[in-house]
Amino acid sequence: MEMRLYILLLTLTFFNSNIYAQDISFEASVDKHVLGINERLTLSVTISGGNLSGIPTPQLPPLKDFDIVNSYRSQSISIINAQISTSLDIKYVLVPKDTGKFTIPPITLNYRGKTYQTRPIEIEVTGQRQVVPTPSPPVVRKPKRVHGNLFLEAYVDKHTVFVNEQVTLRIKFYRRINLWETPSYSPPSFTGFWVEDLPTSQQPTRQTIDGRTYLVHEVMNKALFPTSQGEYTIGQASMSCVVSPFQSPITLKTNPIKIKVLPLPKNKPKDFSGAIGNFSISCQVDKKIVEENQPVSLKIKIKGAGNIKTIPKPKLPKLIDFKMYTSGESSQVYNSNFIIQGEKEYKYILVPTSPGKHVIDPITLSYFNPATKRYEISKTHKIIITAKPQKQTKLTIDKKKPLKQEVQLLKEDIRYIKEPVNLANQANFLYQNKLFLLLQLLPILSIAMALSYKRHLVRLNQDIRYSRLKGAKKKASKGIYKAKSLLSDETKDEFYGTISKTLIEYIADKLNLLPNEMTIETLKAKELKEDIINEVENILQTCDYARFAPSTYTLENMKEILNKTKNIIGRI
Amino acid sequence: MMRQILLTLINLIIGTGIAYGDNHLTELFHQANQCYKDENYPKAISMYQQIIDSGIKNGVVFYNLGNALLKDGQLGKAILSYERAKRLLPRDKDIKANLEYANLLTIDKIKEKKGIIKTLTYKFHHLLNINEQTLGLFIIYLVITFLIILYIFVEKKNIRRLFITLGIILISYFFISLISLFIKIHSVRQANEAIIIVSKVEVKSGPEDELETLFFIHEGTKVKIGEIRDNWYQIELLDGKIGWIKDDTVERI
Repeated sequence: MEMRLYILLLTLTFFNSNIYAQDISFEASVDKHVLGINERLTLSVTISGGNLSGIPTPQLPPLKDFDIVNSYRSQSISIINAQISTSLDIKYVLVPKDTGKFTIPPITLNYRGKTYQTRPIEIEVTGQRQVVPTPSPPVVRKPKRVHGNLFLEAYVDKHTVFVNEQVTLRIKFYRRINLWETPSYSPPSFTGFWVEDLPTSQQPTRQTIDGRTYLVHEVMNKALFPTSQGEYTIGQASMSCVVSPFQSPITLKTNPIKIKVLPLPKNKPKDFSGAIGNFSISCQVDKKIVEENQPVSLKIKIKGAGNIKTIPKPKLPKLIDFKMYTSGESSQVYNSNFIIQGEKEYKYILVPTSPGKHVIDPITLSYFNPATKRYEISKTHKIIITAKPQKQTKLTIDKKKPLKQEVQLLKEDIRYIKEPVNLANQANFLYQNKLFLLLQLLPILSIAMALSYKRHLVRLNQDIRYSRLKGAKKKASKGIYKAKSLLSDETKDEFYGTISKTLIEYIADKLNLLPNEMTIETLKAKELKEDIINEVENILQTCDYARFAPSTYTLENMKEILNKTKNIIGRI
Repeated sequence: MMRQILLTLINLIIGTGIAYGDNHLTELFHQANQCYKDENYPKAISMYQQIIDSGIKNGVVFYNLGNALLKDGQLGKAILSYERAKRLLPRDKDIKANLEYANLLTIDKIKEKKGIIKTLTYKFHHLLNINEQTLGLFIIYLVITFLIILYIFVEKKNIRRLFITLGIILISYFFISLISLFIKIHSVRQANEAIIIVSKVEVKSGPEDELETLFFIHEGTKVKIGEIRDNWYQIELLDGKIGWIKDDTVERI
């Protein structure tokens, strides 16, 4: 009975996420957002970017509302101007389990320390649930005879495996009677597995069970690789057989098979990238002696049993002395005895950039061997490439053209030598010259001098006491000078007056006193020395006497008193 | 005495005047130049070297030695010699041109990350040699002193304000120039810039032969020397890469 489909929502946006980082884009999309219960949905996960070497397969989150029926993986590489762009496309065929609105949760990818995530995708499943795919109404349980004559069996080689280790599923159809028409077969669901086809033999074989001989047809052989740890069930396969046109068809079913998937041991090697099985890596060059700038082709081959498609490109050691170009890769999968095996080949072109012996260090591949339950490493041999120098090596510098293209300056020759007259030592440093260093003090000293002179000027202006003190000597020497000119018999009186006045004013200026305050007592109070006071007193008395009795004083006396005065002015 | 000082100064700066009385060296220099003209470069090299070894550090001698070394095919040492010449004669166009030419011949293409500011400071820093800059600083110092003295005695506010502005500009320039001079003297003293003088050097991740090779550098490349351990140097390229090399593969400028 055909189910009618109701497409309810046409306006659902087509979600796809596009995360750019390190020129890698990781996106997920579906071919349709609304589908019927008995339709299939294709989920494609695309990783694209420059260089996808070592990229792991993204982990699908558990999809409880869907069964994963099948998955494919395809990779395309294009090289334009030595720029590699790769895109890896993984398609999953999903079958919904129920109607309703579902969300495919974000798919995550861990690559070079970054986590990429796609956006969740909403899916709407419409229509009524189709109970059994068989077109027949409830089967009349036919007698044991028929059942015993036909049956479908599923076998697996092991029930406990490691992640990404192969499980071989074989489904066989046993019959003792002829069928009216070719039976229709529907395969089981393979949720949580990566599926690779294995061949089936077309020729039926004979097998005897409990004394009955059956014809055994191989219906399907598959190699399954669990994608993550946990418990998974290989669903039921079913086959509908028509024994005779008068009977309703019989549906045969296999039992679901539980597979326990173990996680990989923790002690993973650093460069482990998820390879499980038994592999070997080898490396080959087409020639070991080559001229500089001539290409060498390098082939790296990975060979062995296991899911070879999921092995990422091996990491090449750093090749400093070479320019490297990728020239292609190929992979081949085959099987022997139902074990998936394969070969992957990567080709590179290496161009040595300088002459000499250049070493290509061993390339390693680490993998987990489920047989030994250990991580193992396969290594290539060290390869030494000898690059001979190019023929025109002995070029004189004059003709040697600069190799770098960016520089437009192409000079023919260097500039000529210089011929100066003298050979002074220019590394005689001025800053080490002591005279020069001493010279540095001069400006500082002159500033200090300027400052103190300025201070003096300001005080003269503002401080009377200071200006009197500073002006005293000048005034006194003027007085002395005047007294000297009066040094004669005629001007005795004037002479002594000048001497007396000069001395009194000088002392008054010095001590900041008014001239009429100048008495011997005040001098004593100012703590002048005894002998100075006595001398001053003596001079002043002499002057007084001389003005009243000038005749008793000779020119000699005048000279003496002048000298005494000069002397005492110097001492105060 | 002032006159004497001034004369000494002028001599130091321009490098003319007293021929240092050594006719022998002048003679040697002429002979070396003659060898260069006759294209006997190894002999010219050894003669120029003799002059330098006798203690004469002259930009022209380094320049001529650089030319002879370049003609002789010793690229690394030629660059080294030009660099030394450039320190003594920073504005000489011939030295600059030949150094640029020699740098074109080196294998390593190292891009120094330079902004406009860095280029400008670089130009400013390398405009003068040590003596010129020392003298320049001294002159600014004198001008600043003069300004301060004038400032002390001048009373007019407008003029004082002018002096302050001028003073601030000059003092800032003075300190910038002083820092630049200190850096220059420090780099000459430390001699931490060096040139690779062998054709190819493995740069290791540490001061041991067994350690991993990080990258290769080739003759003529300029490096900065950081740490020194036994006979290993830690070097830094102009683009910031760091590694260790043996000390006999480079020579300090």
